[in-house]
Amino acid sequence: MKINLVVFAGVKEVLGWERLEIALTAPATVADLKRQLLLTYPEITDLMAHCVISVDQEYSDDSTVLEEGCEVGVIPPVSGG
Amino acid sequence: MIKLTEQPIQAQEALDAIADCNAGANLLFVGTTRQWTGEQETRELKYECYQEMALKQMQQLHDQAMEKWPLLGVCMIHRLGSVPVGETSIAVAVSSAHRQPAFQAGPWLIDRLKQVVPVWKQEINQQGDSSWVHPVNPGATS
Repeated sequence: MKINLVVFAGVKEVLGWERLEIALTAPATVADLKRQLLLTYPEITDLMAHCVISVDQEYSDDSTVLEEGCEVGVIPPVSGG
Repeated sequence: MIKLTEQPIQAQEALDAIADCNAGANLLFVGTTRQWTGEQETRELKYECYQEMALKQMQQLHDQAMEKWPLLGVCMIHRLGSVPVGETSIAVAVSSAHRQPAFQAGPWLIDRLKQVVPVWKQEINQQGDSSWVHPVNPGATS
Protein backbone atom coordinates (compact mmCIF):
# COMPACT_ATOMS: atom_id res chain seq x y z
CA MET A 1 0.00 0.00 0.00
CA LYS A 2 1.03 3.60 -0.39
CA ILE A 3 0.99 6.40 2.16
CA ASN A 4 1.78 10.09 1.82
CA LEU A 5 4.60 11.26 4.05
CA VAL A 6 5.02 14.90 4.95
CA VAL A 7 7.94 16.30 6.97
CA PHE A 8 8.66 19.67 8.59
CA ALA A 9 11.23 22.05 10.05
CA GLY A 10 14.60 20.44 10.82
CA VAL A 11 13.62 17.06 9.30
CA LYS A 12 12.60 18.73 6.04
CA GLU A 13 15.88 20.63 6.00
CA VAL A 14 17.96 17.47 6.40
CA LEU A 15 15.98 15.44 3.84
CA GLY A 16 15.66 18.27 1.31
CA TRP A 17 12.01 17.51 0.47
CA GLU A 18 8.62 18.00 2.09
CA ARG A 19 6.27 15.36 0.64
CA LEU A 20 6.84 11.86 -0.63
CA GLU A 21 4.71 8.82 -1.49
CA ILE A 22 6.03 5.76 0.33
CA ALA A 23 5.24 2.08 -0.32
CA LEU A 24 4.66 -0.13 2.73
CA THR A 25 3.73 -3.78 3.10
CA ALA A 26 0.21 -3.97 4.55
CA PRO A 27 -0.78 -4.28 7.31
CA ALA A 28 1.56 -1.61 8.72
CA THR A 29 1.60 0.44 11.91
CA VAL A 30 3.31 3.70 12.78
CA ALA A 31 6.10 1.64 14.38
CA ASP A 32 6.66 -0.22 11.08
CA LEU A 33 6.84 3.05 9.17
CA LYS A 34 9.33 4.53 11.66
CA ARG A 35 11.56 1.47 11.28
CA GLN A 36 11.46 1.76 7.50
CA LEU A 37 12.18 5.50 7.61
CA LEU A 38 15.24 5.04 9.79
CA LEU A 39 16.59 2.30 7.49
CA THR A 40 16.05 4.47 4.40
CA TYR A 41 17.10 7.79 5.94
CA PRO A 42 19.63 7.10 8.73
CA GLU A 43 20.58 10.80 8.64
CA ILE A 44 17.38 11.69 10.55
CA THR A 45 17.89 9.15 13.36
CA ASP A 46 18.76 11.78 16.02
CA LEU A 47 15.90 14.07 14.98
CA MET A 48 13.38 11.21 14.84
CA ALA A 49 14.06 10.41 18.50
CA HIS A 50 12.27 13.67 19.39
CA CYS A 51 9.53 13.54 16.75
CA VAL A 52 5.97 12.30 17.04
CA ILE A 53 3.89 10.97 14.18
CA SER A 54 0.51 12.22 12.99
CA VAL A 55 -1.90 10.19 10.89
CA ASP A 56 -4.46 12.17 8.89
CA GLN A 57 -3.67 15.28 10.97
CA GLU A 58 -4.19 13.61 14.37
CA TYR A 59 -1.45 12.64 16.82
CA SER A 60 -0.83 8.90 16.81
CA ASP A 61 1.24 6.33 18.68
CA ASP A 62 3.33 3.36 17.56
CA SER A 63 0.36 1.01 17.45
CA THR A 64 -1.76 3.18 15.12
CA VAL A 65 -2.60 1.20 11.98
CA LEU A 66 -1.91 2.95 8.66
CA GLU A 67 -4.49 2.83 5.88
CA GLU A 68 -3.94 3.06 2.14
CA GLY A 69 -3.58 6.70 1.07
CA CYS A 70 -3.34 8.16 4.56
CA GLU A 71 -1.25 11.26 5.25
CA VAL A 72 1.51 10.69 7.79
CA GLY A 73 3.33 13.66 9.31
CA VAL A 74 6.71 13.62 11.04
CA ILE A 75 6.24 16.26 13.75
CA PRO A 76 9.36 17.69 15.44
CA PRO A 77 8.87 19.33 18.88
CA VAL A 78 6.54 22.24 18.16
CA SER A 79 7.53 25.84 18.93
CA GLY A 80 4.61 28.04 18.01
CA GLY A 81 3.44 31.11 19.89
CA MET B 1 -12.29 32.46 15.48
CA ILE B 2 -9.25 30.48 14.38
CA LYS B 3 -6.81 31.92 11.87
CA LEU B 4 -3.34 31.45 10.40
CA THR B 5 -2.03 34.44 8.45
CA GLU B 6 1.10 35.71 6.74
CA GLN B 7 -0.07 39.30 7.33
CA PRO B 8 0.71 41.44 10.43
CA ILE B 9 -1.75 40.74 13.25
CA GLN B 10 -3.94 43.58 14.47
CA ALA B 11 -4.81 42.81 18.11
CA GLN B 12 -8.09 44.66 17.68
CA GLU B 13 -9.21 41.94 15.25
CA ALA B 14 -8.99 39.36 18.06
CA LEU B 15 -10.94 41.61 20.42
CA ASP B 16 -13.59 42.24 17.77
CA ALA B 17 -13.91 38.48 17.22
CA ILE B 18 -14.78 37.80 20.88
CA ALA B 19 -17.01 40.83 21.38
CA ASP B 20 -20.35 39.90 22.92
CA CYS B 21 -22.96 42.13 24.49
CA ASN B 22 -23.15 39.72 27.45
CA ALA B 23 -19.40 39.85 28.08
CA GLY B 24 -18.17 41.66 31.18
CA ALA B 25 -14.58 40.46 30.69
CA ASN B 26 -12.42 40.53 27.54
CA LEU B 27 -8.90 39.11 27.91
CA LEU B 28 -6.17 39.51 25.27
CA PHE B 29 -2.70 37.92 25.08
CA VAL B 30 -0.31 39.21 22.44
CA GLY B 31 2.96 37.35 21.83
CA THR B 32 5.74 39.37 20.19
CA THR B 33 9.26 38.69 18.90
CA ARG B 34 11.74 39.50 21.69
CA GLN B 35 15.06 41.13 20.79
CA TRP B 36 17.21 39.81 23.61
CA THR B 37 17.09 36.35 25.18
CA GLY B 38 19.95 36.42 27.67
CA GLU B 39 22.96 37.40 25.55
CA GLN B 40 21.38 36.20 22.30
CA GLU B 41 20.14 38.97 20.03
CA THR B 42 17.29 38.08 17.69
CA ARG B 43 16.53 39.92 14.44
CA GLU B 44 13.40 38.02 13.45
CA LEU B 45 11.55 34.75 13.90
CA LYS B 46 10.36 32.71 10.94
CA TYR B 47 7.32 30.52 11.44
CA GLU B 48 6.15 27.56 9.39
CA CYS B 49 3.31 25.15 10.07
CA TYR B 50 1.49 22.00 9.06
CA GLN B 51 -1.51 24.08 8.05
CA GLU B 52 -4.31 21.51 7.91
CA MET B 53 -3.31 19.91 11.22
CA ALA B 54 -2.57 23.26 12.92
CA LEU B 55 -6.07 24.52 12.10
CA LYS B 56 -7.57 21.24 13.31
CA GLN B 57 -5.64 21.40 16.60
CA MET B 58 -6.49 25.07 17.15
CA GLN B 59 -10.17 24.32 16.54
CA GLN B 60 -10.00 21.46 19.07
CA LEU B 61 -8.45 23.81 21.67
CA HIS B 62 -11.17 26.36 20.91
CA ASP B 63 -13.88 23.72 21.44
CA GLN B 64 -12.25 22.29 24.58
CA ALA B 65 -11.98 25.77 26.14
CA MET B 66 -15.65 26.45 25.37
CA GLU B 67 -16.53 23.19 27.13
CA LYS B 68 -14.27 23.73 30.16
CA TRP B 69 -15.32 27.30 30.94
CA PRO B 70 -18.47 29.39 30.41
CA LEU B 71 -16.90 31.50 27.65
CA LEU B 72 -18.68 33.73 25.18
CA GLY B 73 -15.89 33.99 22.63
CA VAL B 74 -12.50 32.42 21.84
CA CYS B 75 -10.08 33.72 19.22
CA MET B 76 -6.60 32.49 18.23
CA ILE B 77 -4.61 34.11 15.41
CA HIS B 78 -1.10 32.87 14.59
CA ARG B 79 1.18 34.61 12.13
CA LEU B 80 3.38 32.63 9.73
CA GLY B 81 6.51 33.59 7.82
CA SER B 82 8.84 36.33 9.02
CA VAL B 83 7.99 38.19 12.26
CA PRO B 84 10.56 40.93 13.01
CA VAL B 85 11.43 42.11 16.56
CA GLY B 86 8.53 43.85 18.25
CA GLU B 87 5.87 42.48 15.91
CA THR B 88 3.07 40.12 16.93
CA SER B 89 3.30 36.39 16.24
CA ILE B 90 0.20 35.34 18.16
CA ALA B 91 -2.98 36.83 19.59
CA VAL B 92 -5.27 34.88 21.92
CA ALA B 93 -8.47 36.48 23.18
CA VAL B 94 -11.34 35.18 25.30
CA SER B 95 -14.49 36.74 26.65
CA SER B 96 -16.85 35.73 29.44
CA ALA B 97 -19.64 37.24 31.51
CA HIS B 98 -17.35 37.51 34.56
CA ARG B 99 -13.56 37.72 34.67
CA GLN B 100 -12.55 34.42 36.30
CA PRO B 101 -13.29 32.08 33.34
CA ALA B 102 -11.41 34.44 31.00
CA PHE B 103 -8.41 34.64 33.36
CA GLN B 104 -8.30 30.82 33.54
CA ALA B 105 -8.96 30.02 29.87
CA GLY B 106 -6.47 32.53 28.40
CA PRO B 107 -3.29 31.00 29.89
CA TRP B 108 -4.59 27.48 29.26
CA LEU B 109 -5.12 28.24 25.57
CA ILE B 110 -1.68 29.75 24.91
CA ASP B 111 0.05 27.00 26.95
CA ARG B 112 -1.77 24.21 25.10
CA LEU B 113 -1.18 25.90 21.74
CA LYS B 114 2.56 25.88 22.43
CA GLN B 115 2.37 22.16 23.28
CA VAL B 116 0.21 20.68 20.53
CA VAL B 117 -0.25 22.97 17.52
CA PRO B 118 2.23 22.00 14.78
CA VAL B 119 3.94 25.34 14.23
CA TRP B 120 7.73 25.72 14.23
CA LYS B 121 9.91 28.78 14.52
CA GLN B 122 13.36 29.50 13.31
CA GLU B 123 15.35 32.15 15.10
CA ILE B 124 17.39 34.50 12.91
CA ASN B 125 20.13 36.37 14.78
CA GLN B 126 21.79 39.69 13.93
CA GLN B 127 24.44 37.88 11.86
CA GLY B 128 21.69 36.28 9.76
CA ASP B 129 22.34 32.77 11.13
CA SER B 130 19.23 30.66 11.61
CA SER B 131 18.39 27.85 14.03
CA TRP B 132 15.23 25.88 14.74
CA VAL B 133 13.71 26.47 18.15
CA HIS B 134 12.74 23.06 19.49
CA PRO B 135 11.57 22.70 23.08
CA VAL B 136 12.91 19.64 24.89
CA ASN B 137 9.63 17.73 25.00
CA PRO B 138 7.68 16.69 21.90
CA GLY B 139 4.25 18.28 21.83
CA ALA B 140 1.83 15.40 21.77
CA THR B 141 3.04 13.84 25.00
CA SER B 142 2.19 16.90 27.10
